[in-house]
This record gives sequence, C-alpha cells and structure tokens, in this order.
Amino acid sequence: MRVARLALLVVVTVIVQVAVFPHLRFAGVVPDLGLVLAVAVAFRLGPEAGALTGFAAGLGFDLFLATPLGMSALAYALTAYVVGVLQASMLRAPAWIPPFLGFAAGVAGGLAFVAIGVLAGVEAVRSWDVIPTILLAAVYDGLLAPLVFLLVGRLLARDRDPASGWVV
Amino acid sequence: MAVYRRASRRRYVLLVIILTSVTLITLDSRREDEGAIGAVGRGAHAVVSPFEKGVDAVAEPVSDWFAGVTDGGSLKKDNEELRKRVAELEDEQRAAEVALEQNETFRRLLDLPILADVPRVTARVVNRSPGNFEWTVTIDKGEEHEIARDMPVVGPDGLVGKVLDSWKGGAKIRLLVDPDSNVGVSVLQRGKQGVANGRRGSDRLRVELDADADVKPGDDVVTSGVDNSVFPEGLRVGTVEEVDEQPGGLGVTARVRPWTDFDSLEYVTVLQWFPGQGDVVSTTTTSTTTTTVPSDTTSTTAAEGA
Repeated sequence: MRVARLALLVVVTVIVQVAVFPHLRFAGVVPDLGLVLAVAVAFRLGPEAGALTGFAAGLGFDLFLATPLGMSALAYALTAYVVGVLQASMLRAPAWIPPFLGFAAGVAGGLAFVAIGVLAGVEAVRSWDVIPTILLAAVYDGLLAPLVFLLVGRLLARDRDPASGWVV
Repeated sequence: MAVYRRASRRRYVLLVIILTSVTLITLDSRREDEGAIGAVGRGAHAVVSPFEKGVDAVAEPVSDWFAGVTDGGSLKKDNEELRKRVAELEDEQRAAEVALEQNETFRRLLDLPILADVPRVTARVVNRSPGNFEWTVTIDKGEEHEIARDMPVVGPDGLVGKVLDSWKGGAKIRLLVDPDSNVGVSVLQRGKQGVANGRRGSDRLRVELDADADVKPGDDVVTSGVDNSVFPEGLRVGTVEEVDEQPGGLGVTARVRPWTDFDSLEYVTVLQWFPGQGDVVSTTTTSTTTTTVPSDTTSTTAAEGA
C-alpha cells in the first residue's frame, strides 16, 4: 500500500511540476518538486526509498524535458540518497530542517544536473550563468519543502506499526 | 550482520539506478526522438496535455487580471502609442503589399516556390518549459494536424523556433533563444551568412560572422535557407544591436535582438515545411498537406523559401 501511495504521489508531483509550475515562476525559475519529494521520502524512510523515489520522479519529469532522459532521474536519486544517509545520524528533526534540506538539496541536485549535462554534452548548461538559476530554484524548493515534508509525513504515517509505533 | 546486509543492499540499489540512468542518457542522446524512448515521451505528453490545457484555461484569465491591475497606470499611454504605431504600420503595409505582389509575380515567372503557399497551422501556446535549463513552449495542436519534428514555427513578428516533438494534442517548440538552438541566418543589407545561437541568461542571439563582414547595428537578420536548412529563406529573425570583434581578428560577433517577444507569445504558426525532402512546389494556399518532390538531400535549396 505504501508503495502504491508513493507511486501515486510521484505521478501527481510530475503532473503538477509540468502543468502548474510553469505558470508559477518565481524570478523566472520553477522549483524541482520531484527533488523535494525524494528528499522528504529519504528523510523519512532512508536512502534506498529516497533514491528510488528520486529516480522515478526524475524519470517522469525527464519525459517532458528537451534534455536527455535520465538526467533529472540520476541527479534526484543521488541527492536523495545522500540526504537519506545523512539523516540516519540525526536524533531529532527541528522545524527548520525541511526548508534547509529543500534549499541544500536544491543546490546539490541542481549542480548534479548541470554536471551530468556537461558530461552529456548539453549546451544549455555549459555556462556559469546557471549558478543564479540553481540558487533561485533552491530557494523556491526550500519554500515548498515544509508543505511537501508535511504531505509525505501524513501519507506515510498511516503505515506505522500500531504495536511498535515505528514506520514499517 | 543485518546492518551490513542492509548497507550492501542500499549500495546495490544505488548502483543499479546509476547504471540505468547512464544507459538511458546515452541512448537518449543518440535517439533523435526515434524508437521506444521517443514513443514513451510522446505518450506521456499526450496523457498530460489535457491537464496543461486545463491549467492554462484557468491561469490565463487570472494572469490577465493580475497584469491589468498591476499595469493599469501605463495602459492609457501604451494605447496612445500603439494607435500611432498602427497608423505608421498601415502605411508601411500598403507599400509592402505592392512589393510582395511584384515579388510573387516574379517568383511565379521563374517557377520558384512562394512562402505564402506553404501550408500552415496556427496554434495556441498552452504551456512554457517545465524546467530551468531550456527555452521551449507547448502548443495545443500536434500530430492530428500533421505537425512534425523540425518544422519551422513563426509568430506575428518573426521566427519563433522549430518543432522539437509532437504528439496527439500538442507539440513542443524549441525557441530561438534556447542555447541549443542553431539557425542559419543572413544579414540582409550585407549578404553575409552565419549561424544564430541562443545565449544562456540572455534574450539576445549571437551570430558569428567572417572578419570582413561589414555588419552594423540596425541591420536586419533573416533566415538564410542554405542547403538542407530546417528553415526556409527569408523568415524575419531580428535586428543587429551590437557588433564585437573577436580576439585575434578571427571574425566578428553580432548581438541580435529577436523580433519575437517570447514572454508574451500566445499564438504561433507552424509552417508545414519539410527540410531536406525536396522543394515545395504546391501552390495551394488552403490545403493542409504539402506536395513535395522527392529529390536527393544535397540538392540546393534556393527554392526553400521566399
């Protein structure tokens, strides 16, 4: 059931990213909603689930981009994996964590996307001008992150084991 | 032991993801939109198209209302300026119509194709690029109107770009200002040819020309229509704004301001032009199909446009 709900969330995220956010540009940029979703899942369920969610959301998004298929998938998966590994060392999650992680993951994911694009020969990312775009998009990611973390938390809370109280 | 096994599984999953992604990137970089990957992409677009049109139908009135509120003060002044400009343009149009008529007469006498004869489809822009690293728009007409990859797209003011992909219910257009866009152009007053590229972080184009090109700000830039060009000859591209000499006297770089305002693009026209498939010989203006003469792709394209 949890996998089905996550799959549905990934599909909805891709549709919202593709159909809605181009109309809601902030300073000319759109957020990476799929990346924020993957990070939220990684933070809650760990690196493996985060990487798989990031791969699925990124791949879905890639279908609508002119850049080669797999670029966003790899960038999202790597970023979510790192976040998942790092969260394992955290004992508690203060309120500033979601926006901070959204911003940090936005920067890391954006840089990863550009690095992969340079290796793949994508002309549009071969410039230092991408840095302001990545930073602005990361701010947008940070602003959306609390909402996405809350949504993911609610969605996955249903899977708590009533006996132990732990996520299963 | 269990912790070790879990960590090992994580690394295995990550490795599979990396290998799959790298394989997809490699395959997709070479595909030219053919094969299974292209078909999946077109299928996904066809599924999401109704959502894009629905959101656009809601967003456009809201956006117009917001623009009306925020720009209300300048509307009266803009209106006066536009009325004056319309009067000027009407004079210019009358002169241009006479010239066009003469041009068409001569082209028919010489048996050359006429751009006005190329079948075309007008479509509405329903969405912009969903990402931050590409400059594209999505239109509401696609395969069902015989819109295909690489067809040139024009707007009311000039060249917009070319079709990147099409599916049932829509098509994606790569704009001129996209850094991956390359258009063969000619500087009208000087007869010099070059390639116009988009520039990241700028709404201007860059055209590199020979060192002896005596190009000046204010010169008009149009498509050159060279051999196998995606674009027919003579489509309006922009105006030279600035000319810089390259280091070492290797050439000059012209900065070109496109005539098309890409931010306010609402409707575009797709020219059903097939590059490299022969010369357009149809003279039917109402047909939605183009008659082409199969010929070898190296044939000169003096007949690519008017």
